[in-house]
Amino acid sequence: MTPAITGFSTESGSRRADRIRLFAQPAAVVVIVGLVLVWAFARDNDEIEAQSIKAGVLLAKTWEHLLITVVVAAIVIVVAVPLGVLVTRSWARRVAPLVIAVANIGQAAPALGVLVLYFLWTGQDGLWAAALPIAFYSLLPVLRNTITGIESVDPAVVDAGRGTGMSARGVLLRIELPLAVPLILAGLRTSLVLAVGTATMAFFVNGGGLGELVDTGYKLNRVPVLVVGAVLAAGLALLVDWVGALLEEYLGPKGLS
Amino acid sequence: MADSAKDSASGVEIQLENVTKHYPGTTEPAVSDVTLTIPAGKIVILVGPSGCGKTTTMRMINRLIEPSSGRITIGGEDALGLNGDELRRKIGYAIQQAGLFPHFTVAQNIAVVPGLLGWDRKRIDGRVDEMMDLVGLDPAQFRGRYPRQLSGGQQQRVGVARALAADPPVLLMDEPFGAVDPITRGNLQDELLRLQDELRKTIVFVTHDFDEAVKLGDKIAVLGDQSAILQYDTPEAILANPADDTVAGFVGAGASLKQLTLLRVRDVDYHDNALTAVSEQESPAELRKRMTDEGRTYALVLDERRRPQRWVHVRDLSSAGSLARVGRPVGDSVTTQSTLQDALEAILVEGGNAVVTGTRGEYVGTIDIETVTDTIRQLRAEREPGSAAS
Amino acid sequence: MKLRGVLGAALLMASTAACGLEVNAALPFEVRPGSIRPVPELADVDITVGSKDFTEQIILGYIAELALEAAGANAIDLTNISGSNSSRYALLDGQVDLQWEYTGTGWLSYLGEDKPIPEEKAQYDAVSKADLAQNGIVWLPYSAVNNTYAFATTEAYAAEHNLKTNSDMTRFLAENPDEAVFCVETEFASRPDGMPGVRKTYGFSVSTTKTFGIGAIYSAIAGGSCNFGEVFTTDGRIAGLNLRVLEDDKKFFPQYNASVTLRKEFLDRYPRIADVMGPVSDALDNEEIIELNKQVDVDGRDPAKVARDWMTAKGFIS
Repeated sequence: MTPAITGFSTESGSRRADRIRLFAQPAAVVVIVGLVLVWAFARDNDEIEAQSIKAGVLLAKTWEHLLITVVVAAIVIVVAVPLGVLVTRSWARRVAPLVIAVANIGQAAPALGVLVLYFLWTGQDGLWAAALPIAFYSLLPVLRNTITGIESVDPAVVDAGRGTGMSARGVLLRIELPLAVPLILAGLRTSLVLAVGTATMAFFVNGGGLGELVDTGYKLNRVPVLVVGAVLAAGLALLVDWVGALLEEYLGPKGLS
Repeated sequence: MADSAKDSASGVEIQLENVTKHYPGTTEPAVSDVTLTIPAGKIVILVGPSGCGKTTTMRMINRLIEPSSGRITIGGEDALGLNGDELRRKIGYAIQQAGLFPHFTVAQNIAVVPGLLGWDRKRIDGRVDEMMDLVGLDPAQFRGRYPRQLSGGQQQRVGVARALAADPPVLLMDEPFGAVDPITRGNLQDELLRLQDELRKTIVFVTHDFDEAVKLGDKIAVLGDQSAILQYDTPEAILANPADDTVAGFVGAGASLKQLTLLRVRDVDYHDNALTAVSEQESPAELRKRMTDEGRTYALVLDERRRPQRWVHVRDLSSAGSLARVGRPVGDSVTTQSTLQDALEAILVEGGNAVVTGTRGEYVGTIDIETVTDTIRQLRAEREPGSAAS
Repeated sequence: MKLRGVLGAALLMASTAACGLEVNAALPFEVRPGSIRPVPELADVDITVGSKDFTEQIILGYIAELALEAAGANAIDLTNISGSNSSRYALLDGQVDLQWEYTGTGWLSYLGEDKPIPEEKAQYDAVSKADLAQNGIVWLPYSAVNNTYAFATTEAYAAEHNLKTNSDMTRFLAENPDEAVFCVETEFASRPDGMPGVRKTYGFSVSTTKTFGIGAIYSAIAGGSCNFGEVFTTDGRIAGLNLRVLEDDKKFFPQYNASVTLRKEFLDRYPRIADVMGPVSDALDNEEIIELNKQVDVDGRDPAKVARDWMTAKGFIS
């Protein structure tokens, strides 16, 4: 029997479970975050708690956190995807292990260490001083998935592409990359959730973000502040994951799975 | 190469002169000094054991593999001087796994080369429908489908349609029917022959299946190690006189049975005296009367286009209401184009005579086992040493 | 005697391991007396020295162990205890016999008072009296090491604008409001006895506040990310990065003088400990401890060796 054309699936679990999660996940986030916020604002906060549990502060910190995540996503896509493509070209075969090793360092090294090292090296602080190291830290999933995605394209399909007269560039842009997109998006989803989590340390180099609330609450032993910061950060991570799931669902090329 | 898009669909001659492929780091070349002329408008089969380099040789024609040395001309033009991508847009290419782009619809797959050549939208759409008709896929049904939703045979048909879409004078096929079941393979081979009757392209076809080579080829090149040409001749000639022991080994025993694949039903005396009835025009009772009058036990029921539908025994007619549902359906049938091997298989499937149909599927006769075995006996006699050559 | 010591150590290891405390084994070098003479009452007495988990505390812990070893006691090392109040609980429970503590910490954290006393001796008197009465903990006379919050700038910046005290800074910022770029920790920015309080006391305003982790602030000041930064007055990087600490002339920040704490009943058994630790305590001040901290945090040396070299240089041991 003829083997089916390569149609790999990046979804785990049944389709129905994913459908349900597409609605349930953001709903759950909204409900839980909402409840926590209502509790935090309604309770009798002391002077220190009231400093942090303010609409203005929470919005500002959430916005900073979101901004870092978006910047990181952009950097990761712009760097990891072309790098992944490059590494799969035949002439770059030898460099591949080196590139992957460097990306591995980025992820294996403790995130805080990478952040501080970058700050000490450049003296910069703020949004970019946080976003660049975090992007380096989050690079690996997208890089690895780009490589795997391109390499798992059925060689017969690539051969047919060249054989029908597509240029090498045409095959890359019209066949290899589109077929690798589902895997790349899955990697991006992982990277973004990593980034949201790591961005909780951005405050260490004046990058702001929800980590500030967590650190304040922990150091001053004010649980409500800590809880609000942590819940908002976790909620943001879940929402980012949900957006990633949407992208996977709707941006992948049709005709697969 | 002449712009074949406007010319009539006729192939061009391909010449390989001293073509060699030597991969760096190996001692022996993969393909060594091959010189071969592929006549225009013919199907030439490259056949040989795995690893002999036949696929490499074929892929040098469209320069998916670049020759290390030698000359290749296509239609008089030096293929090695052209831009590789442009060259390949003018050569049809069909491979074993079809290699359909999974994220393109059937229509988009077929439209690839015309798109690369810059045809306008309307012309491409028309051509896609034309191609789908040609390979026997209903455009309305299959245009928007994705390869995943097709069977193996359907995928191969789309692959062939894609290869032919830009009307190239040359078609390269690398074991295109290898990955489907034998029945589908047989159907696809028949389709290819029918297409070739119409289009007359130059086809270079690689296979390791000698029976396929005999069935399809106008000429066969039997290749040995490093693509050395052991014998390059018509199928009849190779079967009758294999050049050396290697070729004989490849041809295999039972050459005379293989020759069954060279003879067509129209070449032999099949019978045309079955009792037939058209289902709409006769009632069971009328037919029964006719059969008893003529002393026949079996009759063939046709539809109003005279296409065979059912075999009936005279006793089935006693209680039948209409001829459309009586007896049993016709199983496998053959055309006048079919080989005697197909006829033999059909006779075995039917368990009796096989129906022979004409070009539009209408009944023209039946063929029985005696006709086939007589033919085999005759072929055997001709091969005996000292007998007159046929 | 020897066997009891071994068994005791094994039991200690077992029990402290169960609490998640690690026994760091004995001191890695041999200690011979210098100006600290062997004290017969302390011969072979097991004294467990604990400390919190930051550099200064670990160095002070080793200094105490070296002093006690020179005096003939058997110092058991339990420095570098993690957790905010773990070392204090260890002292109260008896797993640790001696540890350096800070007067302000005792007053504000352990005794739960909310107003610090703005004078070193007065703060010491208050906390030692109250802790003895309420918890049976004795505070030996305090040293000049005062590890509290302060603002710091680069030495060059301070010299250029003639800044020595927080009041100098206030005056300077009044005339140059754009220079009011501060680096602070997250908690410092929020607590009333942090930024809000000191701003009220001195009356300066801030144009830009940048938040950093405490570890990064020193580099941030040195690198110019901010002009003024919140620091700890005894951090080694003050010397390592050539920063100048501004004096808290209005005494807003609490006093955190380092002093040796022990359980009363332990000290009553071995009162000579106070005589041994006294001169050592007196020899320590901010300048000395900054240098020691620097050798560990900036130069990367081992705290035990740094402690030994200092004790030898001061002639306490040889």
